[in-house]
Amino acid sequence: MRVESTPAGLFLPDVGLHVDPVLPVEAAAITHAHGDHARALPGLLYATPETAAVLRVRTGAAPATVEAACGAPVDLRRPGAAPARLTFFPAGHILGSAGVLVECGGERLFCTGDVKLRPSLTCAPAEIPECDLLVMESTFGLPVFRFPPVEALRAAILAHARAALAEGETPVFLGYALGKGPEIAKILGEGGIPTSLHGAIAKMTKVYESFGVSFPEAAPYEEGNLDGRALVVPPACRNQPIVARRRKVRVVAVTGWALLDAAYERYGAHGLVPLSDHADFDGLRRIAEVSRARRVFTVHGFAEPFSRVLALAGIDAAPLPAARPEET
Amino acid sequence: MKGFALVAANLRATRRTSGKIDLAAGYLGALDPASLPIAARFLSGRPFSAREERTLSVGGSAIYRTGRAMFPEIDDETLGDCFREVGDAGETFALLQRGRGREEDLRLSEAAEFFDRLAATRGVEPKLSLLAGTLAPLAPDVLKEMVKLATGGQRTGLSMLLLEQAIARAFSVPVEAVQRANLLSGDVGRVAGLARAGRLSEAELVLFHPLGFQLAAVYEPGDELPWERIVVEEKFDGVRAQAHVAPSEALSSGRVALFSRTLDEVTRSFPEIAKRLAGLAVPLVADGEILAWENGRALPFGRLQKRLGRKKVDAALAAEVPLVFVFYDLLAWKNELVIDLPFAERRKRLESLVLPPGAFLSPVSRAQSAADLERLFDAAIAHGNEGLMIKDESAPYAPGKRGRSWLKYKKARATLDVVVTAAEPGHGKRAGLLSDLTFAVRATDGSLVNVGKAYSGLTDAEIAEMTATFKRITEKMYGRTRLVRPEVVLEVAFDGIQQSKRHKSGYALRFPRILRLRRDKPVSEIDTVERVASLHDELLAGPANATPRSSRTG
Repeated sequence: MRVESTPAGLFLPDVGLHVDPVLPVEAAAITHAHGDHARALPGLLYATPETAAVLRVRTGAAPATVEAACGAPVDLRRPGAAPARLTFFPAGHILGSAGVLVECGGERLFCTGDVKLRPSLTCAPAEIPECDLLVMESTFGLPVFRFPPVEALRAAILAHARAALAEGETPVFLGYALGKGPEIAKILGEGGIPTSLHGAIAKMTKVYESFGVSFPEAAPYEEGNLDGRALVVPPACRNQPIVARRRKVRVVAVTGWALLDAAYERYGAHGLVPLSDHADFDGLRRIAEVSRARRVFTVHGFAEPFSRVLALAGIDAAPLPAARPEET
Repeated sequence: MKGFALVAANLRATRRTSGKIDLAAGYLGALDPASLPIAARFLSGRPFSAREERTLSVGGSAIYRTGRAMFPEIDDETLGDCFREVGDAGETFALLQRGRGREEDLRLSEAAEFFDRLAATRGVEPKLSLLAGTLAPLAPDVLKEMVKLATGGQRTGLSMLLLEQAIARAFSVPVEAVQRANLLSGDVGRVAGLARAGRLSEAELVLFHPLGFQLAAVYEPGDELPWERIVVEEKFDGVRAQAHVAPSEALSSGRVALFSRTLDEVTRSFPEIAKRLAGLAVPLVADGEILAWENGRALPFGRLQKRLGRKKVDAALAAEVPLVFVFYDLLAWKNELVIDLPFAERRKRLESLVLPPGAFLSPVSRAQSAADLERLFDAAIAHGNEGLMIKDESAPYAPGKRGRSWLKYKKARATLDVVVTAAEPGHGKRAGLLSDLTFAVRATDGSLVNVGKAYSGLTDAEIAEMTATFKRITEKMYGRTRLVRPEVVLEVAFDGIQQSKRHKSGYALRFPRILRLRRDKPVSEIDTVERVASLHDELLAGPANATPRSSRTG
């Protein structure tokens, strides 16, 4: 099966399918509903039910959609292309995230989308199927990017929240509305810390709840009412009044980039917790290994160095130029 | 070092300066007398005191090779990518060390001994084996601080000013006493020890560590001045330098050091100046200017520029660009600090000096009125100088401060001092050379905001040299564009200023050209968005007002 990087994004010409297109195309699988993967809705959308639900909330649009639950194969039949079978596998990245396996003519190609192997409280753990060709992300594909154990990071989030509250500060956690924000809310909830959510995150947690992920300790943010509560906001809100005009805050950036001290400046943070929704360097290597792929293409982040690392380990690997802008 | 590593990490996480002072004070206050000086030096980001000549001679390549030895499982290129991506050697080592089960600590005294040994070790291979041997077993947080100390600073945001305040707080002594002792001794570690013992008054002057330079504010015609106290000198367009002179019994075998505005030692670039000053009869620290000089007048800066950044100066170059040293102020005299004396008193001491050939005292005039200043200004321009320095003869010397006791008066064409933020390869003849430079000025909040991009102005040799520099200080690649650490300061001329939506500064320079590299200018002193805005307004106001004053300091 051929894999091409086109202006519209990743394209599998033999079966007539795009993956995570950046321009409107006829048919595409979308691995998850983050803006940089779901930039343009296709004429015919293949997605997990969770991703389809988030896309409806995010875009208000409802293209013709084939909803395929993880592990449930669907037939892929595009005009002028070979018939194939498409199966989603949970990617462990965010709610609904899934890698897509395309089987055609006895060959198996798997695109990971964004993927994380570590456990999450708000989405299903990743499964990596064996395949012949693997297209994998490499956001953190350098050996400096190794994350501490999840348990320690969850404990660090709770410790920041408790210490801030004890000192009369409002603990403010930075996390995207889809993914990290709800994950932080869930971690704080399990630690028994009452939490207020920025409107964008609160809106997204409704979708989570419709898929059985509940947030009993969390409530939408209301003006003024933050005594004894933690606040979760998207990173872009760091300098907006919701955070900036409070006199006593402890801002905690929760992201893989928090491994680097530069993140203090970048996020205007007082605390850094490197809890990521991406696989770290070791995780990425394990993905390449367990897939048993005979050829690996790396995309995003450190695609070039990571493909070299794989090649040195004896895996046939090369970077695939990304059509979409790098995630920041 | 565990305790030091913890306080360094907490300092990085603390945004308020008052919080930083509290943290450092709490840490220093609890240390034993033997550890205190070491910890204070390390907090200043240096393995040795500022006054020491010793250097580790551990460059990027030695650190990289140490990384190769410590992390053999990582291939060369990937290791290079790691250093580049993380942008800090200490952090890179610490991140790579994680999960390897290395948990050794060092006592502060052991860390200090290691740096002593490293400085004393000659040859690349012995240095490498000492580095790798000592660093390999260390816990990641300790390793991080050790590598940062070896490679150029802790990046904790604890400036010397804050460290001095922390020492004062820790030992309940006046901050002025700490600052003065630090200025005298150039060793913040010794100062911390003296502060702890209540013996700050015992600090004595030690030569050969740079003191801060007094800076000048801008004179605007019409500014009211205390005319009875005003003295005026011509403003030379050379390289500002601080001369430290310790004469010896045998004439002209004394020791001399020259320091630049950036507080770097530049003695080797100006050997003939150093040689001449060695003949002075009195130990002193003087402020002055190095000028290219011929037939009784200063040569254009361009001639002097040939001498800048040279590590070795041969006789031919020395003959091609003859130099003089112009004395204009005095910081120390016969082993006493004299910065608190009025300028008139400092000047008297300078006038009592017998100066060697190739050195002279900057002539002073009196001015009683703005009209006098205009007359003196025209004379200065006629002499090939830049303008005037207007000084208050009753004022003390204020190291590192920009106050109204020194004013500069220039009517230069408008130029801006900017810092390079990104570099791209050029085209044609300059393909492969990083010749297309994006540059920034400073915004009100202290961040850097781009105002333009220039393609020309440097010589081929300078471009080649800058290409190597930019590669070394690259922080991130975006395709062909390298975002670089803001370190390279340029002076740019331009035809106009437009308002721009594309640049974060809100302005774009029209047809910017690089006039010269400003190696003598620290990044902290580049121009501001406010100055760009006021130039923009002045230029709009038309030719009658189109003689904006440059804030450039020679």
